[in-house]
Amino acid sequence: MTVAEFFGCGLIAFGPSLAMFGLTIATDPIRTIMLVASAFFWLLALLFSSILYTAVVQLQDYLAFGVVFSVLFQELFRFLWFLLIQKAEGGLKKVSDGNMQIVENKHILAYVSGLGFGMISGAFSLVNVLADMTGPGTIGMKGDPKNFFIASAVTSLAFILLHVFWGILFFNALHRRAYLQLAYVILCHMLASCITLMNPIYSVTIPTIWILTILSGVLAFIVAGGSHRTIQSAFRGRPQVLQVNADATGNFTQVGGM
Amino acid sequence: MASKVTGRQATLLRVLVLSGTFFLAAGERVKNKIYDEIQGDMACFKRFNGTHEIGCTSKFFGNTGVLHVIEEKADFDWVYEHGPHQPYVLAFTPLFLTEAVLERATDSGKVSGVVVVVPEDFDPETQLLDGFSGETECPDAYLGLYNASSNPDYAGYCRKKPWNPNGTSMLYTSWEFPIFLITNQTSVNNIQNCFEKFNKPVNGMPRDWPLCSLELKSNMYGTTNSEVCMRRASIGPLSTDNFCDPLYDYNIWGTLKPMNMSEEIPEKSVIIVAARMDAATMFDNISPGANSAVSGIITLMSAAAAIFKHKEEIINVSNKNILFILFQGETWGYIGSSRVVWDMEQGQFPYKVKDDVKDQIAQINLTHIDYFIELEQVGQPEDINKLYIHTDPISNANPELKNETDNLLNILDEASNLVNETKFVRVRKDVPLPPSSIQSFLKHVNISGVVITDHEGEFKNPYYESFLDNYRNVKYEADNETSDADLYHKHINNVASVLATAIYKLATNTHKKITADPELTNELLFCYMKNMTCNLVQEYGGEMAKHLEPKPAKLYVSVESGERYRSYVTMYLMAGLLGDEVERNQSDCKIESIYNMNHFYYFSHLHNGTCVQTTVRMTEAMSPAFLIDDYDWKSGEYSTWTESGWKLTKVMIFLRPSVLEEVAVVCGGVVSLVLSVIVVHFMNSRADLLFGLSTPPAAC
Repeated sequence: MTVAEFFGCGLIAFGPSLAMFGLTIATDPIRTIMLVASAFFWLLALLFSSILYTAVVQLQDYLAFGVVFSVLFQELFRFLWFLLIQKAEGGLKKVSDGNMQIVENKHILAYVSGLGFGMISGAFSLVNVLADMTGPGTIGMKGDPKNFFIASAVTSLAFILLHVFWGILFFNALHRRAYLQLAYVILCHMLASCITLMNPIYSVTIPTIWILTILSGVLAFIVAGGSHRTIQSAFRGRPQVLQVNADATGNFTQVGGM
Repeated sequence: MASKVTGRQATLLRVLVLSGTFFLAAGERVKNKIYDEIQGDMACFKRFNGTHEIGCTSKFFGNTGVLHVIEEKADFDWVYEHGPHQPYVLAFTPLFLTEAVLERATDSGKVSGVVVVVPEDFDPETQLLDGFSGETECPDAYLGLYNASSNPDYAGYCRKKPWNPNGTSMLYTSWEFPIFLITNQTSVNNIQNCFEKFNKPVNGMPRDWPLCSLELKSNMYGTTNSEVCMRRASIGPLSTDNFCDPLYDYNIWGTLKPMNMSEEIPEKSVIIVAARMDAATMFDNISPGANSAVSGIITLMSAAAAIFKHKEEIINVSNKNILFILFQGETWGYIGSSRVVWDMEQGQFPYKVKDDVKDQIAQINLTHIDYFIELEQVGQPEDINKLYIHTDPISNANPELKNETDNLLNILDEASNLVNETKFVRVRKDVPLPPSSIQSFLKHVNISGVVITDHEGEFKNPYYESFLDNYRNVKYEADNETSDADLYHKHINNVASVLATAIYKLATNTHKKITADPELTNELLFCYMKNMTCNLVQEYGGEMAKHLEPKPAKLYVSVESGERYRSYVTMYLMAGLLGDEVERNQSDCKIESIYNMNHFYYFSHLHNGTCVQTTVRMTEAMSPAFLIDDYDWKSGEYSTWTESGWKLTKVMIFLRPSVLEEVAVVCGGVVSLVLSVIVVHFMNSRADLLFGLSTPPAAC
């Protein structure tokens, strides 16, 4: 594909994460650091998956084997990351400069971690494809599906969002010891990853993945304290709330805006 | 761009693919699914002389265009009049490779490149009835003997009666787009299939995107002309690749008996037997020159080998010596021969006198030359037993020289009678010489000489200096080195026998029928015409043999840093043919100095290791124009040809998407970004409400 499609597909896949990063992460140094650190943990998962893949020569031809173990490694490292920030909570309190929000609202850290996982996995899975898009040609000459690039971008986007949602659900599950939720995250990750083995039957894989994304999104929203009533009140707008709790909201917006 | 994925990288990539988990199986680079690299080593490239540039170049990043395969003449009209997807890259067989076609393509402005495909079943003999030659109608005329002749009969002879009537001058034209030759059948089929699957118009209606396209990459560094180009190079090249380099190779030669500087060479005692070593085409990596050059080379080698068997007899009775020489770069304004003449005039052929070198080789100058016998194209006589002898009308106006020439002609006649296979016919005395190396000599000295060819007037070779001048053209039919049925090698061998017999008589003044070895002739022909990895090359080629491919020899001169394997292999073969085996082991089989009269070569694959003592050597063949300070580039005295530098030549085939699709994807991307900015902003700014952080009061 051409440079135009490089940017097109790049924006489709990374547009939402770019917006999330720019509006919610980049404004707070602590969040930025946590994002990068969680991305590093995903990279560690990748490293261990790769070592295992290289070591088990006999199974290299079976993609499913790699997929399953890669998912398990990712979830393991998500857990290790959780343990690490649990330990580091004290330190976080010290460096957070009086702003206790990130420590008090556990969902924020979960969201940041999830986005870190999502962005780095999205980058690694799509950058190869994006890099090869810049030339003058497009795919299809050798009988490959012509919508491969778009499909890749859309799938990438779904996985980035999934990682965000999984991050929230996973951390919440560990906090509340809700093991069913934990099982949901791992199974959902496994299902979403394994379904991609059916590619290039995009008409099956993409809807399935997006159904999982929406489902996980709704669950994450509820877990984080959202409901149809909160949506309504959010749409009705701020003035009502300001009346009630002007101080707290003022603080909030200031923090978000900095 | 040409990054290759190593094994380890591939593994990592594969894991990356797994963790992202949705890409193509097997972990292949996506690039390999988009692009197919097809044969791109035979590109038309740029060359320059003192005043002009010729050849082709692509843009820096290559030329792309929608592929259109031309099957019949009407397809051109379709592209120029109806084709909506310009620019196009046209693909056609050599049938359409004419100046008119290329010019129309240039004028249309709709063509960004051309690939000339040669399918396996393409038969030039039945399809290219008009012949094809990239040369001019009068090859090398501007640097030849007759260009400056005051006699209009000679100066304008070729224009009235062209030697090469099939000449298109295509080689000497500067084209605005890259042109590639594709002979690899996989690549040819690839082009054909891709065109039929995606591009071929249905009932004259153009197909919709995506369309099969080609990218042709052959960006040339040099521009304008040799003078400008060399001046830039002397300022200092910005990179390691040069803008342009002078055409450069080595003349390969040896004498029957060694010439020690301590012994004086008598005047008029060296009989020169010469042939042209090089051939050229528009394209890189292909220059078979079967009749243009190989016919002469092999005749000379075979005759030299036959004469060498009678070396002792000749040395004992005669003070004459015989110099066998293969001139390089003759296609490009007689580079090799003019350099030899220049060196002889400067008193430095083969080398300047060195102090302190024992058994130094003697210097030869123009006065030492006795007769000059040159073999040009000898492989395609109309009547298999008849060859033609050309002489120079200007120098032979001198009665003394005329007598000598008549003597030479008589001896050749007697020799042909003695061998009784090939007859010689003398071309009319007032006809000037065809393009030949002897012209370089006659420009500076009056010697008596002949040029032996297969044509009386115009060339019998329809494909002079073109990629079609191969073994098929001369009907060389041997499939291996021992094939006896083939008639061509017998013909060449007969010519070599007559030549050897005549030389023997010239040197000793006695008649003796000498027969060249037909098996050797056939082996040599097989090597040069069909397969440069043949047995002889394996035996004599040494290290050089490893670099050669099982293909016909590439006879283009190239540049100083260029490929030189076939020159070395030819020198080693000459050394083997014109050398004596000596009892020396490998460590002793070497020379003290290149200025020694004898050289030693060690052939480790010949009879478990053989050391040969010979006079065969190579001397530089670069035009004197590049050695003379303040040479006037426009003077036309010496060849000024240079070759452009380039980094790579490459052809890729791929599908190109429609602009509409591209716009749609970009729009999709922008929508994705804008939409998410809105949503995220909304959720972030109202996070307190959305996530119920302020619900307690709100619920109240």
